Amino acid sequence: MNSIEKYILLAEDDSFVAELVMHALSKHPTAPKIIHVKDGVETLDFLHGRGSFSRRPASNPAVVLLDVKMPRLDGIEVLRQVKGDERLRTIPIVMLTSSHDERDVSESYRLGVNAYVVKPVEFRRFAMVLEHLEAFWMHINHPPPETRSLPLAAGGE
Amino acid sequence: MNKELRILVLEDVAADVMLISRELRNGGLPFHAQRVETREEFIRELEQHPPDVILSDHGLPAFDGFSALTLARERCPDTPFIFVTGSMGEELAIDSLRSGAIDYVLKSRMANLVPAVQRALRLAEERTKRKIAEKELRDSEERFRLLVSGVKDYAIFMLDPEGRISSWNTGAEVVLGHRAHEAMGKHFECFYRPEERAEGKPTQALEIARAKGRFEDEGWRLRKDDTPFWAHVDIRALRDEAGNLRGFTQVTRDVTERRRHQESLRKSEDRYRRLVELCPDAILVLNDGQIAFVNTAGLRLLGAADSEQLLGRPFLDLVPEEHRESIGQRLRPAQDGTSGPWDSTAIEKRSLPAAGFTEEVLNRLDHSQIIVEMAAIRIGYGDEPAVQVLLHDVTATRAAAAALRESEARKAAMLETSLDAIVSIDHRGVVREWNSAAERIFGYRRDEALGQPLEQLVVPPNVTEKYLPGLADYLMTGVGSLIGRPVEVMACRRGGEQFPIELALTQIPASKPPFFTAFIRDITDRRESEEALRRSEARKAAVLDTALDAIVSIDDRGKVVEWNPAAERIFGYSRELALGRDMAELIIPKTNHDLHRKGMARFMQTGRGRMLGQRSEMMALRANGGEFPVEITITKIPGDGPVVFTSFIRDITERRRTEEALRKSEERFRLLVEGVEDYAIFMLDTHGRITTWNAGAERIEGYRTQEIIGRRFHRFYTPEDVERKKPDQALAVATSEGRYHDERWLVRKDGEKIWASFVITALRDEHGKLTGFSTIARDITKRKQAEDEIHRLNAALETQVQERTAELQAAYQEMETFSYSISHDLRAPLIHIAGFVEMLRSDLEPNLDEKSRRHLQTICDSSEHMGRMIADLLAFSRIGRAEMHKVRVSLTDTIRDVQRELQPQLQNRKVTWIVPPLPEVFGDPFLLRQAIFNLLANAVKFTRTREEARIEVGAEVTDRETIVFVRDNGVGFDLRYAAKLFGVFQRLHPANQFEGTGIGLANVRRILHRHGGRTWAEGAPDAGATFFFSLPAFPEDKR
Repeated sequence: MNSIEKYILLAEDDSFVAELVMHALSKHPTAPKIIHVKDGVETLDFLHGRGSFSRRPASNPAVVLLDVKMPRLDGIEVLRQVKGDERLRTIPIVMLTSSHDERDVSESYRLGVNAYVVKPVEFRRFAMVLEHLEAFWMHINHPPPETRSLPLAAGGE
Repeated sequence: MNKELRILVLEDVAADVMLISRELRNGGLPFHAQRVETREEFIRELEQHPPDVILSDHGLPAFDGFSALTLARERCPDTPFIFVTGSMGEELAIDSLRSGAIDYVLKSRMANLVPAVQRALRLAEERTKRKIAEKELRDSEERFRLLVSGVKDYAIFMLDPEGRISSWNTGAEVVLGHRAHEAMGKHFECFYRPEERAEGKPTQALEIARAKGRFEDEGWRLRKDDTPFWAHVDIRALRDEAGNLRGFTQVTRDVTERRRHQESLRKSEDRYRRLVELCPDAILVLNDGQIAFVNTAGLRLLGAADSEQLLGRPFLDLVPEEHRESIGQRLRPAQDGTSGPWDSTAIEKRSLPAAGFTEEVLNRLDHSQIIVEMAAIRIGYGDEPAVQVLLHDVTATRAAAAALRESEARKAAMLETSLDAIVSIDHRGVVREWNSAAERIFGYRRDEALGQPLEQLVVPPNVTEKYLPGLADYLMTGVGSLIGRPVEVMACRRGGEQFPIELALTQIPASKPPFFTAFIRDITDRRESEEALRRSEARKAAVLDTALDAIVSIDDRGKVVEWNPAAERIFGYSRELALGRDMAELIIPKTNHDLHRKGMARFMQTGRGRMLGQRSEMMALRANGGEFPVEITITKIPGDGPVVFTSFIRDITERRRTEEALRKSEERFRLLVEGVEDYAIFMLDTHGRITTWNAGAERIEGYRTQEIIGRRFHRFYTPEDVERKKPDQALAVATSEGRYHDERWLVRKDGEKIWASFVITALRDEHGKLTGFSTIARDITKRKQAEDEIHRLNAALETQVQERTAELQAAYQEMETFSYSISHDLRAPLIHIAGFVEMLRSDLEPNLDEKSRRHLQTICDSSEHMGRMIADLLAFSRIGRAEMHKVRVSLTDTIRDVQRELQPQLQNRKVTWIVPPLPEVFGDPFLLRQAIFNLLANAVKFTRTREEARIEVGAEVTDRETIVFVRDNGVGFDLRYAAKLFGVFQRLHPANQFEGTGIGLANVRRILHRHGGRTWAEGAPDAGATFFFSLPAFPEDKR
């Protein structure tokens, strides 16, 4: 795997929605690489490069699309831990969720989310939102230098 | 120096004599010079014509100057002797001065002669004067020594600079018990008690006398046999002419008797005063309707800083005008007592029934009002009939009761019963909360204070400069000097009076913008007692300035021969004026002249005098004719000369006045206490046995005085409380802490139980020894019952409120969960449906027939519609939960704003708006805007089928509300279904004709309901519709 390859980390327990996301972005000309994790615990394991994710790409994801409502560890808690971790806090996180709840919205922004997007029901608009997100985070945004490499590279195995 | 000088010149050379004469003449001295040459002539002149000055040559043929000097020193030692000589070596000159010559003049320097003579004469004159003075002093000292040694009442003795006794009179033997030979040489500290000796009191006394010339003191001293007596001590420093300390005189008097008398009066007065001061309720005494006395609780209750603000004021001033007449009537029977002398027995005959309390309203000095229970009874106050008024503050109780009636105001009631002022301000310093203690302390009513900047109410002008920047600083930095720690600062009452407060300021946690709450306690009382302490210290210092007694001596004919400065001061005659005058004429009132003369005559005949050696009190006369009481001791001075009587006279006007005042005051307080019917006031000895019993105690406890005196107060407690040692615990607490306060059931003589509030105070003597207790009790059974009822209701209310709150919380929780799952769980399947249909459609696109395409489209539209409904439902529930911030809202502006937003939907349409100027309303601007948006959007939507749409907005303002309507010429509706219009998801038109979920009017209704307003509609099918809503008028204070 190319160590500087850009990819999106999708954290989504709903496999149907995950399929829709993949489908929407596969139609896109740049067809970005998407890694799918199924809950909050897996998301953190992936970002820390531990357990079954010890061989994950060396670079951090260009963006994490994070669902709020997930089993085991919900998206808000994942966001709190990522933004509270010196080595992970610069990874961009976008809440892509079907929760309209204003407390989730305000809590996410309080914790430092980069964007909060409610999934539109209409698929065309859903696909459009994803394309915009992909375009911005994969191509327009340049992450700070320290996020380009695996945070554990210096001290980890 | 006009007298002719006699100058004796011892000189053998005639020319020199002429020289001397010429020099003296030129110097302008009138003189007669006598020249002698021999020893014989010199002696003869000295004896027969004593000269004023002697001028002598040094070397004479038959006689030498030094022999002449020796002769002159022997015969007339005071006459100055000057050598006038041709030459004199330095050694000789020194010798001559050492031998007694006053000066020498060289004949070659004759110019020095006149100054030398003048100087010599001056010195001689001074020496003579001094000798006379010394002689007078010796004579006077002798007289005083005799006088002093004869005095028996005063210990008069002298101390050397170190404090050792160097003289001792008879009085000292009598007063202090030491014989003269025992006392001499002893240090005077032996008269002090050991602990005072250890504290260095004797040394301090001498230091003060040394520094200030005088030390005066009263205190315990010890006799030889170690018995203590209360002594008045006056120590004065003695200095010689050069100002060097030579020693001290000390005059000591035994004043134990007087002190004991005053002490007992003072104690008794003190005891009653304390009782009255301890009384937790206000006690006022009215003399002729004017306030003549007020206790501390009264000051506090009426908002006075000190009694000066109240004394002398008509009591009715404190009564609101509308109640003056009725209260005046209530006080009248109390005022119109029998005239004439008033004694304590008159209380028994009082015509008033036992005073019942009635509830009244009074104005405090700061114009705030209080509710009190008031009772008035007639008492004797000094020699005057008076009315005693008892006031019990029930403002807080009433406020609590009132608050109870309105259960919504329960929180307020809690604030109100707080003793401390609780004031909340917002980030701009504007008062948002103001409890009744704040009303009481600062004098502003709650409705006056709310909405005002705090600095305009209570911050003294000189502090405002600091306060505002301080607040601004805190808001910016979060660092405030006052936050979180209590400080003592000055505050300002209504009317500008400044007073000290203790202030604790807190920020309401997480309030944004910050919101502060201040807890404020008025500490005026605390400060004042500190102040009083300082004042009494100052008074003590002033006592040192009073002077010793008058000393007047007379001879056997009654003529004054001695008259000291104190006598000048006391009687008003100067010494010159008094000496030689008849003492009786001067200072004895006419009525006593005969007595005085007879006494004098008897003594002259029999040698015995009734007055002699006795201390007695009588009236004396001042120069201005005023009579005043004195304490006098007459002593006959022993000796061979003519008889002399000496009187020591002390002006005791002040003491009499004090005693009289004490006696009167004691009497007053005693009557005050005995007359009180509403408080049981009684005293206990150290074992809890009752020693005094007042009318109130009789009424409340049911025992008569003779039945209860000597019994222990334990009998007032219930058997269970006695079993639990409650009475003993009460005394123990009162003993250790000074005061014990309790409320509990007590038992009357007839077995009935009363709920009593009582205070037990330990009484101690000046040595701190416990002497007993005072008890003040009040029967508050009625209040207790009322309070119990309040508590019961409170508790019931509390339970109810808790249940309701729990129910509400559960319902709210459910609602939260519901809307959360709607927003998440119900939407997910819709996303699936829409997403997978879209995938299906794109996969099948090339082969899809028109019918299947329409079916797929319907699935998409329906799921989308359901998504919108879910979103609307969530928005609707948010409207119900959103916080409201009501302000003044301009309807005109709001409608203009909404019109702008609807502009895109008006493309290619012809719409006539009729919008006249509209009033302002009071409400949440965002919610109102949403309601108006929904109404106007509806009007736009349902006129779509009209060629020309007409939309009219109007408003009508009444006293109670503002009614707004939106009228259109659209499709209208059937009035039968009007009730359904405002329901959630209710639609009166097919969705395919007019799009929408049907939530808009439900939102309008919900928004208006939250504002306390109403919504309704009028219309007919195809005839347009009018939608109305009403908003309550502006609240009073927002107009």
